[in-house]
Amino acid sequence: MEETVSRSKLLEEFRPELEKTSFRWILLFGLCLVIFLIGIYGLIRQITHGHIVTGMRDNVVWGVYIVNFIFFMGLSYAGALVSGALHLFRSSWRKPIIRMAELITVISLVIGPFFIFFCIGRLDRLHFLFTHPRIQSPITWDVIAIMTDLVGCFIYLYLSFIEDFAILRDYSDLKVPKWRKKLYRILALGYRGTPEQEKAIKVSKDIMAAMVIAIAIIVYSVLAWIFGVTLQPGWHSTIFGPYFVIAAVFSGTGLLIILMWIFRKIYHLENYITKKHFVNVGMLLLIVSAFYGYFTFSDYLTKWYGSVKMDSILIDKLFTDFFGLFIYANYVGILIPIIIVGIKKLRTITNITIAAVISVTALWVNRYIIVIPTLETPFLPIQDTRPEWTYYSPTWIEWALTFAGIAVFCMLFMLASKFVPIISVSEMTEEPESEEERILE
Amino acid sequence: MKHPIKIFSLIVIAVSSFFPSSLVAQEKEMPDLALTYLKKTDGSVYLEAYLSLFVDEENPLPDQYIQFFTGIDSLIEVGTMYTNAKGKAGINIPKGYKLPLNEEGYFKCIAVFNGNDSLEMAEMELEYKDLNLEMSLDEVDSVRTIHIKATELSENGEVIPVPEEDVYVFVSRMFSNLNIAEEWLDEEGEIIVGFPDDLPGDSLGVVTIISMFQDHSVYGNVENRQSIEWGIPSDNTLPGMYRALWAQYAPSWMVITLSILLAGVWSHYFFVIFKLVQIKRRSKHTERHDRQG
Repeated sequence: MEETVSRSKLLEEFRPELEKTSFRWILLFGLCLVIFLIGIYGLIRQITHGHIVTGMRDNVVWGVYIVNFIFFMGLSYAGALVSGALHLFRSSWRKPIIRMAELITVISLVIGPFFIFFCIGRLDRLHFLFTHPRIQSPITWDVIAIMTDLVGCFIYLYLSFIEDFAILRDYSDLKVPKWRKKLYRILALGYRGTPEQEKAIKVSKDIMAAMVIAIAIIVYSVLAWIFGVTLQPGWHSTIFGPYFVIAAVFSGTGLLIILMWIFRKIYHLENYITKKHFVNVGMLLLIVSAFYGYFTFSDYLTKWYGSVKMDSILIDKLFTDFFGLFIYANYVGILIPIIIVGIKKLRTITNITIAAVISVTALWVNRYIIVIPTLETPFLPIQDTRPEWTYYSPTWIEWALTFAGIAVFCMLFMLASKFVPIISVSEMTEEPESEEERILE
Repeated sequence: MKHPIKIFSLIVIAVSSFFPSSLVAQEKEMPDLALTYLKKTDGSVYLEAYLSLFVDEENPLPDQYIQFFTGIDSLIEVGTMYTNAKGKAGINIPKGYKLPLNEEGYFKCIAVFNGNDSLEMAEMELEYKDLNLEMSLDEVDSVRTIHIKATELSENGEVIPVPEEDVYVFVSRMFSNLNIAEEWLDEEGEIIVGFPDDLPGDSLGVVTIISMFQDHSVYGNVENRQSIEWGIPSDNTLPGMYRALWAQYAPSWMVITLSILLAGVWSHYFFVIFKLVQIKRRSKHTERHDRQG
């Protein structure tokens, strides 16, 4: 495939998706909307009846909501790391997939914090985080970090959209409502592709690519430290910062492969997203899987060998009550992607996508077995506690809100793909930089 | 006749097997009852009973009615008490109470648990002689000494020393008593023990010193405890709460690091926003120029 394609050809290809809404699209969107509304119903029940409708009790005060929060934030940071790194390294194969990575970043980042709100018992006190912040509190670090990251990722995404907004504004054959044309015009900021404007965009993109990588690492480390700085068994670990970052990249890479597969099928992008892209991102998944496996082994080995009483109880619990989940998260989820991508014969688009699905689900399970078993292993028993207060089991409301989060992710992605081409037209039609230019930079 | 009896026996066995075992009368369990005696500094006596049942492990029996008696020929009830959650029930016999003595000068203390539907009756009896344990704390030329003297009443009612007996000296600590000496009384029933000068006390340096006959076969537990400012005053105020979430100010290194990080990141954001504004301005300028042209 040519790395640079004709702009008009590409626009023609995406025109139907931007102009019309297919029945299949409406059906899928409607399905997501129904799931979202069920989640809203669950949320209303939770607000009116209180957190008693969830499985969270005195011991396990963080349930599936926090698992989802960490999971979505991880996807976001992975998107930022992957898109930022691909941009800075100027990989020519990045062009068809970089927008997906950027959208993963922003959409996940928007959804993730909502799960914190679902978890908070006294939402009416939320504003205290801003009116009475304690800089020494990791929760405050997280609030500052997430807000900084959100702003940064929005700027980065917008920068990558400006040229496409300008192209869509100038594309006279595009039959879209006037308000959309007007919106493209406003959002394009009068971009005409002059050398000065091009340079300004290029410099800004480079800066923001570096920024989002740095922020992603810092923010996800901060999230890991919320666990790591506590003395809870299983959480109090110096490796948690880098472990969380690598796990985030692991899941984000997996999600990128899944989205590549979905959009390739829906929009018939076989000419743009080829096996080469799947293998390249798959290779990234393989490398990250290996690192993630190494970090996981290192973390559990030191805890097991140390034989600290509470760590021993926790590890026993992981190998008994949570055995199935533990094996899936830390063996199947790590080894299957390595085997599939590592063996050339198995390296097909479908197989790589299956490996990606396994990696994403395994990472969600990994988050679950990080959060729940620890909270089920308290240092001190609560007076007059009951077994049902100690052991956690998510209720339908928690599952409804979890699936609502996934549904919102899908809806926002679908809406974004209706507004701008899912493959960056400007990136695809950009002339590749000469080696000399790259060195001079 | 043999045959009908055999059939009847089989029917009885068969029918009885249908009844749950809970309906069949169970044998009562035999609890353990322990009793301890302690003569305190003020001369009062504290009796404590401990009721438990051993099933795989020792299980305290709470809420059980315990009676305490004394007497030689006939029993005199001195108190009753229900066991607490730890299976313990204790009563205090005030100083003036005369415990009946036998010819050899021994008195009896008895604890009785009368049993219930599931537990057998249990009883525990102790027999001791009365002992008077005196302790004086002196400081001469900066040397701190503990003077202990043990006496008892003879059959004639005379105060006589208790010689050649083992006496312990403790200092009360938060969780248990710290043993600082174990000595034998001399022929006069006396002993002098030095007190270490490096023991921490409370904020004023107060320590509680306990001299004690411990689990003695003749006198039981007899103690004399006194508090004195012989310890090193302890500063129990917490060190500066630099790391506490509720501290007024965050550590300066944290504020500096966070400020640098945020300043670094946000300055880049503002630079990029400035660039975007520049793009917009230049486009307007270009449009105006094109129109004029």
